[in-house]
Amino acid sequence: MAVLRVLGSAPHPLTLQEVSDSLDLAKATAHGILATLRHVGLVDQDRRTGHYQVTATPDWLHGGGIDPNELRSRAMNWADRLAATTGEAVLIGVPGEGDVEVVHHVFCPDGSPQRMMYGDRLPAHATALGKVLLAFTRWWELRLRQLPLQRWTGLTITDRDALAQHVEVVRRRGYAVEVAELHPERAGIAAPIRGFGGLGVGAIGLSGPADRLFADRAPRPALVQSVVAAARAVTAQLEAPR
Amino acid sequence: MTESYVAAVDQGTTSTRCMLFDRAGRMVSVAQLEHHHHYPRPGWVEHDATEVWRNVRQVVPWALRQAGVGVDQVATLGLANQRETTVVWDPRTGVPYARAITWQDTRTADLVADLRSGPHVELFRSVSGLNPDPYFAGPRLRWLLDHVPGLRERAAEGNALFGTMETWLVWNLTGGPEGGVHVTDVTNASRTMLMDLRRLTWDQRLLDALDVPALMLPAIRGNAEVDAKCTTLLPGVSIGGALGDQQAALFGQTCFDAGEAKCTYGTGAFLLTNVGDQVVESTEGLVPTVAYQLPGQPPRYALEGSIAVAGSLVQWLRDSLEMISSAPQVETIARSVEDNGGCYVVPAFSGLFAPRWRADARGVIVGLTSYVDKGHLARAVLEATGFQTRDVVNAINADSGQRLTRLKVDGGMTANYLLMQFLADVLDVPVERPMVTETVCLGAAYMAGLAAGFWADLETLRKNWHLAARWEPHMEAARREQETRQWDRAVERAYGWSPS
Repeated sequence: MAVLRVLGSAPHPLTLQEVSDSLDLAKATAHGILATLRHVGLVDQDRRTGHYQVTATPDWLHGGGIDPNELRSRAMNWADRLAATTGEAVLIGVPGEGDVEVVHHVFCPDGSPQRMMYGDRLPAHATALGKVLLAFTRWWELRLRQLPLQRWTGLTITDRDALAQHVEVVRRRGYAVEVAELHPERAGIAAPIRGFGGLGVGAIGLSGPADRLFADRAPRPALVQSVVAAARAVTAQLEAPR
Repeated sequence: MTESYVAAVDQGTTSTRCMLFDRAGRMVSVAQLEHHHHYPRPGWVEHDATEVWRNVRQVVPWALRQAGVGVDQVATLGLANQRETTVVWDPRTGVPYARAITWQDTRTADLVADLRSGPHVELFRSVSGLNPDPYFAGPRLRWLLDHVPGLRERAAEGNALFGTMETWLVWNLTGGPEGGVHVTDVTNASRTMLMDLRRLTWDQRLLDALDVPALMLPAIRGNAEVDAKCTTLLPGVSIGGALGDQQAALFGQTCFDAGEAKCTYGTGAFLLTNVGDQVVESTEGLVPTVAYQLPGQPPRYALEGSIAVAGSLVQWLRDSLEMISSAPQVETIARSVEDNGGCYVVPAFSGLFAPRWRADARGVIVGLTSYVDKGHLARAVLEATGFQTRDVVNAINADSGQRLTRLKVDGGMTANYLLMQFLADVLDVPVERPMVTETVCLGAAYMAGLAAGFWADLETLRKNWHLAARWEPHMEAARREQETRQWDRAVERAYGWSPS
C-alpha cells in the first residue's frame, strides 16, 4: 500500500532505488513488493528504463500527486485568509521537474502593483516552498539530488551537506524559512500540504520583504503560526470528501 | 473592549450559510447547510421554507461557536437571499401554505405567455422595468393564489402573507406569529414585477394586472432600513440590512460608482453593473434592477445580465459525460492543448438568457473534426462562459453608453485560472479577483454594518477591498475578433433547435 502511495504521489515513473529510499526499505524488499504489485496488475514497469509507475491511478490513491488545479480550488479560501490575516503575498507550490512550480498566488493586500506569479518556477534550495517540498516529498528530494545548487545571493545554501542538514531541521520543525537566499531583500515562510499517508504534495507560504517577515533575524512567530495553521487547514480540506 | 463582529446569512439556492466578519471585512468563520430540492413535476423546483428556517437556526449558532463569539459580540445581522423564490404563509401559525416556488421553476410559463400577449405588457415594462418572464416572483404568487385551495380567501382576511426568502426570514427572526415584522427590501421587491422601479412602491395597476391583493404584501424598505430586531436566535441584535444575493455581491465588491461591474461565477453567472441613480432601460436584453438604497439617498440602479449555464456546464462534463471526476480537473485537461482546436460549445440547455433571450435555442457542439480531442472540448466548455460574459458586457456597454474598463469577479469558478485569463483576453479588459470571494455574505454584512454604524461609510468599505489576483489581456485583437466571430456563428446554430 505504501509503495502504491509513493508511486501514486509522483508525476513520473520512479526507479527501484527511489522507491526503496522513499520508504526506508531494503532494495530486495521493495523489489519483491513491486514484483507482486506488477503481477496483480497494479504497477507497470517501463521496459526501456525499468522505472515503476501505478497502472492507472485510481481515485483512492490520488491525492498524493494531487492535480494542481484541484489543490488550488480547495486551498483558495484558506490562502486568501492567510494573506488577509498576515498582510503578505501567499504562494502555493508543487514539485515540478527540477524546481518548484507556482500553482497559486494571492497578491499582497498592500495595494502595490503586482504581477501574477502563476506558472513561475522557483529554485528548490533557495525558497521556503522548495525546502518544504525537499523535506516532505521524499521522491522529489531524491530526484533533485543530482541537480547543481545555483548561487543566487551570498546566503544561498550551495553546499549539499549543509542543505541536507537544513532540510532535516525543516522536517523536524514542520516549516521552512528562507531569508535573502534568492533575492537580497526578500524572505519566505512555508509549511507542507500533505496528501494520503502524510506525504507532502505541495507547500503553502508567505513571500515578502525580509524586514516584514523577520525580526531580530528570526521569523515572526505569529506569521509562522498562521502559515502552519493554513497548511493544516488545506490538508484537512484535501481529506474532506469531494 | 470586546471585539465585535457582523454576522451575515446568505440564504442561497443550494445552501444556507452564516459567516462572521471582523472590522477589516475579513471572514472569521463560516457554517453551511444544504437543503432539499423538490421536483414534483418537470420544470417545477420547490424548497421547504420551514426547512430553510430550521437551517438558519442551526448555521448561525454554529458560526458563532466556531469563532468563539457570543451573541453580545455580534454588532448586527445582514441577510442576502436567493431572489424571486416565493413563499406564502399563515401569520397565525407561521406555517407555509405551500412549498416555496424557486426562481428556477418554470410553471408560470403559460401565465406569463398570456401576460405578454395581454393588454398590460407595456405597463409592466414601463413601471416595473421588467418584461414579463417566468423568472420573476409576481407570477408565482398569482399561481399560488390560483392553485392553493382557499388561499385567496385567507389572503382577503389578512391571513396569508407573501414574501421572498428575506421576508420569510425577517418575519421569523422577529417573532413569527408573535409580532413578526413583515418587510421586504427594494432589491428583492424589484424582482417581483409588482413594484414601481422609480418610486420603489407597490403599484396598484400592476397588482390589479396580476390580480394580487395588496394586503398580503410586505412593506418595502431601503436596504439598510429593515429597522427590526431579532427576538430569537440572536436576541436583541438588529437586522441591519437585507438585499438580494446578486446585489449583495455587487455591494460586497464595493461597486459603488456608475460603470463599476462585477460578475459572480457559480452554477450560472450574473453580471451586474452599477448605472447610477437613474434607471437605464435596456434595448439589449438586460434587466434593469435596483442595486441598493442607502438611508436618505436616492436608489442606485443596476443593469443585470444573467447567464443560465456557467459552472453547471463543467458539472455536466463531470456528472453526465464523466469526462472528469471533479470540477477543477477541467482546467488540467484543457491545459493539455493550446487552443480550442476549432471546437465551440453553446450551452443553451434551456434556451439562452441575456442578452439573447432565445427560449428556442438548445445546446450545440460545433467544429468537430478528428483533430478535436477531450482537451479541446474542455477548453471549449470553459470558453463558453467567457464568450457568454462578453455578449453580456457588449450589451451593457451599448445600453449604458460607457465602456467597461475592468471586471471584478467572484464565485467558485475564479479558482479556474485558465478561464480567468480567457475572460481577460476575450473582454480585452483586466479581470480582478478580490481577497474575499464570498462577496454575497460580505455585501450583506457591509449593508448591515453600515446601518449599525459598525463601518462609517462607503469609503471605509472600499479600503477593505483588496486585490487578490489580476489577469491582464494578452490575446491579439485579430485573434479575438476571429474567435468571437466563430462563437457568434456557433450560437446561430443553436437557435431554433428546440423541438417545440
